[in-house]
Amino acid sequence: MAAQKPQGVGLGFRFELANELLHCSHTHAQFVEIAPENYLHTGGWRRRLLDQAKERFSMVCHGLCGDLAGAQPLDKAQLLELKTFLQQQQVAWYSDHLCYTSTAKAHVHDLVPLPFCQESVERTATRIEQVQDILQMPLAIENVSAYMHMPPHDMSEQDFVAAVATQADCSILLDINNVYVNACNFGFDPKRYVDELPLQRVIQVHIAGHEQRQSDLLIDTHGEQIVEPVYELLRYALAKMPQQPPVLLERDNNIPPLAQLEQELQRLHAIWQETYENHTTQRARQPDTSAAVCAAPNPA
Amino acid sequence: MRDGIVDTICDCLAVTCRLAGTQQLQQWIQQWLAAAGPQTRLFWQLPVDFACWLMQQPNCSSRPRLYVELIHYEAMQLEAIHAPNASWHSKQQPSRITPASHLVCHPSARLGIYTYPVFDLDGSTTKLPAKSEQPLFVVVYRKQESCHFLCCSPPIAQLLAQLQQNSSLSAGLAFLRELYESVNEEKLLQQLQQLQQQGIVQLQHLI
Repeated sequence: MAAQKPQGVGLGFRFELANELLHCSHTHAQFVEIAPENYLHTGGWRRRLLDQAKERFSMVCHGLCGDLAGAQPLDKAQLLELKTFLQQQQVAWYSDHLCYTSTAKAHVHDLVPLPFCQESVERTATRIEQVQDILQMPLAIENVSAYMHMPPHDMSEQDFVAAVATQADCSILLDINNVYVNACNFGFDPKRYVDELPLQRVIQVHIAGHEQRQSDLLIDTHGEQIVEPVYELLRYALAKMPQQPPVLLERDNNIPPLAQLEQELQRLHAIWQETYENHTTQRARQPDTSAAVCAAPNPA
Repeated sequence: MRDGIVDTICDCLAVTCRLAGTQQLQQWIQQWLAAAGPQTRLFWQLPVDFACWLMQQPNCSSRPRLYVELIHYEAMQLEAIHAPNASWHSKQQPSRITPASHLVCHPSARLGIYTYPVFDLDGSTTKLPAKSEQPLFVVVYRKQESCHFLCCSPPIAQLLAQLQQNSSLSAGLAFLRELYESVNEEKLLQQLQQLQQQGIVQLQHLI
């Protein structure tokens, strides 16, 4: 069976929400995203929920500890295990964070930012190519939130992400909230960041809420509602993208009832639909576009 | 993030948290993070990782043996709850086990040997149990998504350990005959029959 490409708006599949989401009569979530690390080597209720989610929604997988840019040797056995899992789930692509997640001593279970320099581009792109060769499926790298720069810091974050994606020939998962958080924390223009990315490589978008600790310090908590400037940045980014990637709402902490998240999903769906229609209208005005335009999907 | 790891482990080790106190448990977790840190990339396995490290540490007065065993027992329950599914149907009818039978263990089955009856603790009382005179053997397993335990005799525990290493039942019984002066095979087979009824073991040809 061919992998189903998600469209529209989705929701991160969390155990706290699972029963409500799986049994509700209506949701604006058209797909869900799971972390393979939560299901590998498991059975019991976790696998039951995974099977139920797969029955109701199309699915994408998003890694947490792939150590895509790590300094430790790649664990091929682990990647082959992941490949089997991804094939079983019939996902259209796999994504993970553009960062370190382990040291020589231990897995840190955190997203450690990379130095933004040419040497780091070369090393990371080579490693990502190796991962793609093993997984044999499209891989998207996600821009991460950060609170300090890792030296050496010779290029902008967007130039770094663009260079790695281009050199490794991989896709990008653009986290809009992370762009906004980093823009506030490091003082750059988030729209310029978006403009300078190879947007044709963006295969999926993440969006979430954050916590404002100080006037110039935002923490990417995934535990709050999305703020207005982040919605605005999403609208801006989607309008710029040549293709319309699906948008996923991440909520990992301080999880409210589904009804509350539905309000955010509904708003995201409206933005997604609006930009989709604008894209479709623009394509229709062009003299001859042989590109097949799919019908806009409706929420489940 | 360290706070996230500490909180997650504390949540999973609820009985220890209640009996030893959150602060004490957090302190032990911090010692683990400083000395070794997570060897697993799977977040759900962090309490298991921590418990294994703790069991390997030499006895010390700041980490009473009772709590080390309780942490291990709670981590074992977590492993049993999340272990891969068995390849056989849980409603499979039991059938007769003979020394020539080929048995397999349920993937969730975990064996523990304790000096305190930690499996009797549920946090409802703060009264701590006395040390047992004999080592206590327990098998923890999952049945219909719930975790259960069964106290067992040392030979049955050793036999299960052999089966988990893919030994045949006849090889397992031969192993016990080497260990003990006399082995009551008939009684062992009866006990295995009970384990089969609980879904802890199954005959290979029924899978």
